[in-house]
Amino acid sequence: MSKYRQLQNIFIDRIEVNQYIGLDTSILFYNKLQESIQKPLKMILLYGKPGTGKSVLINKIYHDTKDKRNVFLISTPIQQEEEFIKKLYTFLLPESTLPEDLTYNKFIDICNALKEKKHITVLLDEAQLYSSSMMEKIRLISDTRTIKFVVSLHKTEKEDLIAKEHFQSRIWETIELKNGTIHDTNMYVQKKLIQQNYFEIANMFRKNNIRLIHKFTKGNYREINKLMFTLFEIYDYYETNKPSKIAGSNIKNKYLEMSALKLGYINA
Amino acid sequence: MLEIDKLEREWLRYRLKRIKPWIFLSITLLLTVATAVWVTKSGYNSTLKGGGNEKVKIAVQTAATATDASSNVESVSATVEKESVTKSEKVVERKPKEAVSQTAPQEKETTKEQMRSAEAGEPGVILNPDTGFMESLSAPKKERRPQKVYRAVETAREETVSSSTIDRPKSSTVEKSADTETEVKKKNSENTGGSGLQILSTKTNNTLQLLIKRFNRNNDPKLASYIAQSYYKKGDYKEAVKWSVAANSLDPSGEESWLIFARAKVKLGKRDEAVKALRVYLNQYSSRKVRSYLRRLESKE
Ligand SMILES: Nc1ncnc2c1ncn2[C@@H]1O[C@H](COP(=O)(O)OP(=O)(O)OP(=O)(O)O)[C@@H](O)[C@H]1O
Ligand SMILES: [Mg+2]
Repeated sequence: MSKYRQLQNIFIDRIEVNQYIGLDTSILFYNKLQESIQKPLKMILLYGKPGTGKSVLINKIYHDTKDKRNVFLISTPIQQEEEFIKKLYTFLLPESTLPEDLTYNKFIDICNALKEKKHITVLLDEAQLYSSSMMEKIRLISDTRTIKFVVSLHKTEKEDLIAKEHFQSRIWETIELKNGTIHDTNMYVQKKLIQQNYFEIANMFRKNNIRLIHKFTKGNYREINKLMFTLFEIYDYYETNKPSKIAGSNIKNKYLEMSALKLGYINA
Repeated sequence: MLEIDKLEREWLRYRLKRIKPWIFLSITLLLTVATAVWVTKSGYNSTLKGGGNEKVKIAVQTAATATDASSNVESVSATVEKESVTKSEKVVERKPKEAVSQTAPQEKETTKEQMRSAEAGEPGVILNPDTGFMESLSAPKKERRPQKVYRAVETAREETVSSSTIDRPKSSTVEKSADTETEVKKKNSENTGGSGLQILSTKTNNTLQLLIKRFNRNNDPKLASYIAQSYYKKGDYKEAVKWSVAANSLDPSGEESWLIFARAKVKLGKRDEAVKALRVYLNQYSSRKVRSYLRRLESKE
């Protein structure tokens, strides 16, 4: 595979804990979330625009938790109530066999019975996909204080939720993830490339390139990924067809602009 | 599939769209300056004959050196008279570069000619081209080379042109095609010793430390080059030299390490060492980049 093909691959959207990048802001959120998990809270809300790194963060937290008996992750929502309850049961009591007729009410009873004896934390990613009746049930489970939930969802859905009265009265710890600053953008691009040993390529990104990348993507990591992917797609094309066009020791802003045109960030 | 041709065309349209307002601005600017000059013409003439003579002379020289030969000066005046945007833009663009490489005033004759024509009542010849040059210079930092010229020009201008022209928007040089823009920027950063990535430099220590650790484990010459480059960008030229040597000893064929070495040496005031090293490199390997940098160094000698 050609060099620029490989570089494209680096910027494909995916959640891999070993590719987590400690950016100034993401480290801040990471610590904040770790702290919140230690506090006696029922629910923690992690929200932010798409592509701000919520899934990456939640996965990293899960991965870093040494004591796997106490922290669990549900990365894709389980829509079926029954299935969801079963899952929670196996988290809570991994040794005991699943009761045949496990209902929601029965599960609440079990949780109440375990009060003061057992506490676990369950991380729920993409929680905007749970129905509001399901969210209400999740909230009631958290009231037993046996299971603490970290709920990660898109911003707009959070505003929805907050508007709903039953959530307003609850104690939530909220953490909002934001787009990266220009400094984060720089770090993200540099570290992504260095991680895969592309030192020369990392060097080709100068301050004016980063400024442009930040301008186009607003520091949103998913958008940065898309822009970088397209940029290397263009570089790959020129490398095979007109190599002279990409000679030089910096990234040409022209190609960043062409990528932005292709992705519709700007138009001619 | 990537439709490069379509994208290239789209990009051209995009660029053109962005440049349009600047072309318009430059026309207005030229018109205003020309008018201002016209208005202050009589006052200007008396300055020329009085004490202000020296400074104006320098301004004239700048105008002259900016163009390659005396004949071109005429074209400048022609341009100004016609207020044709394209030509004057060309002049503006060239000026900073040429002004840097010029050291001694060689073209005395031209200057005199210029002076005469100026006295004859064509002050526009001197002033018009200068303004664009000024504005394009006012953005960068103080250590820039052309500063001497710049100051002189400024004083001359302040004496003649009303102050209203000073806070005019930046010249159209900035809005050239992307390629020229990067080129100019690169030059700037080389001149000031500033980095392409200052952001990195403010908070990199940690990252750099990590990279050094990693290097100690894997001895990757590319990594050493990268570290050298990072130090260079931070302005730590001694460390940059150290790391480029490390990279070099692991992989002598890599042009990058030689280039960083040379650049850092130049920054440390050891141009001759830089030149020597690059010559050694070119004896064994061929590299366009190294050759062109060496040529640049030698021409500055
Ligand atoms: N700290 C980080 N380290 C490495 N990659 C990151 C980091 N933050 C974000 N990314 C990149 O950004 C992409 C998008 O992040 P993520 O999927 O976590 O967004 P999200 O906030 O969960 O979005 P959504 O609301 O759509 O689920 C990831 O695939 C990853 O490549
Ligand atoms: Mg997500």
